[in-house]
Amino acid sequence: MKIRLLLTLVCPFLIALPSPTEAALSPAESDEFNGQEAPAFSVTPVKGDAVSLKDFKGHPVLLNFFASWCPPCREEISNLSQLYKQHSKEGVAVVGIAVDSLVTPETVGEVKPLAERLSIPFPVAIAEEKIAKDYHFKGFPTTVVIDRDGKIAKTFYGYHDGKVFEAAVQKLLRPAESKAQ
Amino acid sequence: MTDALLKPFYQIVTAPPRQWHPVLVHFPIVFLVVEAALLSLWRVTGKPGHEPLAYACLHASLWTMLIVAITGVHDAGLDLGAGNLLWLGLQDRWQQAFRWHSSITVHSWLALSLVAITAARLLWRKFVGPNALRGRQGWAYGLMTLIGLSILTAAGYVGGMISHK
Repeated sequence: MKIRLLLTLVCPFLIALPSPTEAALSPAESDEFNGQEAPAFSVTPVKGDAVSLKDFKGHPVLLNFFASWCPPCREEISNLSQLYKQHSKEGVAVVGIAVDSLVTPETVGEVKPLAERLSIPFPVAIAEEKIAKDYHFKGFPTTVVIDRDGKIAKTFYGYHDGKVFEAAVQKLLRPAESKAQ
Repeated sequence: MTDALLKPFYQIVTAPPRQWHPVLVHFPIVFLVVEAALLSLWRVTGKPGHEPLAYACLHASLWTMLIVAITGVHDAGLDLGAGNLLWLGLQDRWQQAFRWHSSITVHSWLALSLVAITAARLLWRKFVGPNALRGRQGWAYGLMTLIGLSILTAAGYVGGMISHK
């Protein structure tokens, strides 16, 4: 009897362990899509005019997929904002794509207030299925680095420190500088 | 090698972490596990020395748990713009309180249940005294301890996934 009672009380917690919650992806760097032509996209940011990949021709682009309610994504956005402020003069572009529309449609309305509250300096748009599919979106946060030639240079899954993005951007900026010399 | 081993000891002062919750969360966990181990030892050996030690660990666990909960709210407010971090974190947690798709929400509720169970056990021990550990009450107290440990496991599992970032 006691054992049955014990199992009844303890089991729900053990069953709850693999509950279908959305956690940030485990950090990983992927070269799987490197060298592939970055799929063209055109998105309408929550504030400002529409942006498309061709607007950034000749410049490195970081495409960041995030969810508005995901704390590691917000921390990454803060890192990317800093990076953008430092390198936007050198032509580095960052575009935020909120995947709330795909994973939690009820939070889509929170993307714009978040962008305003965090004073995100780069364009932030709501994801459409096409862009997520084209960029092989599998979870958040995901950052796709596109080089000056419009080719995918790296894909970062999960949270990454600002230094990691800084290194990736420096790598893309370097060849042009050496060519100029 | 020596430097690598010593680094964690001084780095906490020279380069304090941005998020304190993942650092401090281990304290209540250890106290809770040690308390359960001492209670088991007391049950098996019957040595009276284990029981007050277990009670002290229960106290330590609850108070460190409360500090850890505050750091959790603080950390939640870290990337929400300018303002008081605790207030921002509280607002965010309130907004996300019933969004079960977020692993942080699940973690928060499990952690709150653990705080409630630990506080209930502490009050039980405080008002009933060592008799809470004997006879039928003892079985019920043991059951609550086990439930607390299973919630701790679940909360730790989900929390570990969060700090994977």
